[in-house]
Amino acid sequence: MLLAYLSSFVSDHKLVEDIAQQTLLIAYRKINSLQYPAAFPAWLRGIARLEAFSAMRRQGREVVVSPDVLQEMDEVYHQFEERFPADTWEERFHLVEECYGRLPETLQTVCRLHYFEDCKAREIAASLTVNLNVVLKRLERARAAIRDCVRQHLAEEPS
Amino acid sequence: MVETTPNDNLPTPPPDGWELVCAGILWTRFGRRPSRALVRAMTQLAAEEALAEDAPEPAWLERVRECWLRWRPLPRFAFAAGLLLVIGIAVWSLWPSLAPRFGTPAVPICTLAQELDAQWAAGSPHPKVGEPLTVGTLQLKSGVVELDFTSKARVAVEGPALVTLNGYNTLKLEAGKMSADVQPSARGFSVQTPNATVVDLGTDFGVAVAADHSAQLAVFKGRVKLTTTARAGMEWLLTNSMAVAVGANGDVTTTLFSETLFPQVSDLIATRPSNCGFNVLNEMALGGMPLTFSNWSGPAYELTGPTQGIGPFEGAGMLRFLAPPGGGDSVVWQLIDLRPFKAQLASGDAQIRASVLFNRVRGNAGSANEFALTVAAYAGEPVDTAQLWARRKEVALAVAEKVIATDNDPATWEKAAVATPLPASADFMIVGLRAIHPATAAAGADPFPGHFADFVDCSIYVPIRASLSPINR
Repeated sequence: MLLAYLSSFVSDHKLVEDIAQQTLLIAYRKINSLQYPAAFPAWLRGIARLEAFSAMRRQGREVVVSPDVLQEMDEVYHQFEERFPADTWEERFHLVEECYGRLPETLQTVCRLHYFEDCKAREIAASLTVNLNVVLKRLERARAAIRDCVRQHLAEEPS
Repeated sequence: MVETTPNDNLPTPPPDGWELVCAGILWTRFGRRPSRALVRAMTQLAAEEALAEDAPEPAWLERVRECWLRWRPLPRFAFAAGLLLVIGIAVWSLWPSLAPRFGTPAVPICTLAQELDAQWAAGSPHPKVGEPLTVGTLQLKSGVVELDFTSKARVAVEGPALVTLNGYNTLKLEAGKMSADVQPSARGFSVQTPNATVVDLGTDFGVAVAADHSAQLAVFKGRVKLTTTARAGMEWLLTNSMAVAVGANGDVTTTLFSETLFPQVSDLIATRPSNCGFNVLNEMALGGMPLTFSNWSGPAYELTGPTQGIGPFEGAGMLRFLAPPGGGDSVVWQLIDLRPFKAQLASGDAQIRASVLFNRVRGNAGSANEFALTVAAYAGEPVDTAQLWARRKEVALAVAEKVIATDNDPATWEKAAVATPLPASADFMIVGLRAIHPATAAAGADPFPGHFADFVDCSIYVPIRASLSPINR
């Protein structure tokens, strides 16, 4: 969950690993300050957020995500916890994997190349011999489609 | 879900929280992307706690202990159990596949990753390649060793050298030479010499200490901070290609920068062919030898998903060999440009390493069961590549080939791997994948009824190197 959360707004994987490592160290050292164990995931995300902002500032970069969007992200994670209270995070993410599996092949291809094989959009455009803009649009549509599918399923009553 | 017609003129709204969460989950491959963050954090904690064992108890901890002892036994136990449970649940739910090394009596600080003609002194430990090392002193009589720290700093040490491993992200160099390649996570990696301390600020650097305790420091990339025992309170910031000498009396003077004064850590650079996993199913060209870089070409093959009961080793696609029109082996090639790697080849010690996976359907006596991987490196331009390939054993600067006979089990992918020295003059490489025509094929029968290749991996490996210049004595 921690890596997924950080990867939402930090694009450098190595930096994500470093921030995650620092976050865990701080969480261990400050565990006594956690009042309600059930709030651990949200508490950990809060530490990760601060560490990410510090790390990006040190590198002269800016986190281009508004406070409203960060708040919305926390609410999404909270909905995952409420919808699947007994599951691990890998099990909860299976919903996202199902929604990814329903994408048309053209959108799955660009998602796989970009997110799983770490190809840059320019490299994907060259591989598929399409315009860069086409790749970017496909990635946007894929994300939007997965988002809508996940939101719909989380809004459903548990069976 | 149906893909609607794209309209490139519509402005794109910024992503909302839902979209960012989904993107983050995609990046982690639905929570399955391997991560070392937890292991590194645990190792760092254990190392810090081991080193702090003799330190006096901080006042805040004494207050916590007092508050703890005032609790009644049951709630105290319940809290401890609850805390352990929370930490346990958090750890195992976040990273169920990782096992922290609790209970390890001595926490490894680094691993001996490589050695080059290393000879250890009589009173020193004699670690083997792959052996984890803990706090302690090593005395290297001669040769070069590479130490890979868990903090992600990599250090090459050249003997004669006396090195003390004294912390998770630090070492003491009392004599000898070393260089460090420090990843961002190991920022702060420090080297102490008898009269100076060098702290990494995100860099590659070298330090050499002579018998009189004078030292030379060179920064290959990035920045370091230097302090000396003789000039307490002063610090020097050195950047790219700067070098200083620290005299036996602690004086700091600039000196000529020379990277060859220091040993160098190993390097592994991925040079995979384009579409190395054959997952982009429409990226293929039918024909003869390719004349340009970065595309597969061959007379008879296709890229396919799962078929005939065989699935790709990784990703969505794999290569299927087909019978060429004129008969014979079924071959596919790709040219790889080596000119971007000239700096790595210049050392003269570089090696090309390549591998590929092969599989086939169950066959009979007449169907092919052998495959081959070939890499051949050439100088100059890729002109008349068909001739260069045909005469590779005569004209190539380096050739390596591996033929494997595969089993009759479609469930197993089998690897062919090659490695060969790569001369500094190499400009490009041809990678050839081949399904070998069987000698006993029946007339009219398809010699390649279901023969596949997947995941071609190539990398240039440069081993650890000794310095080229003697240290001043």
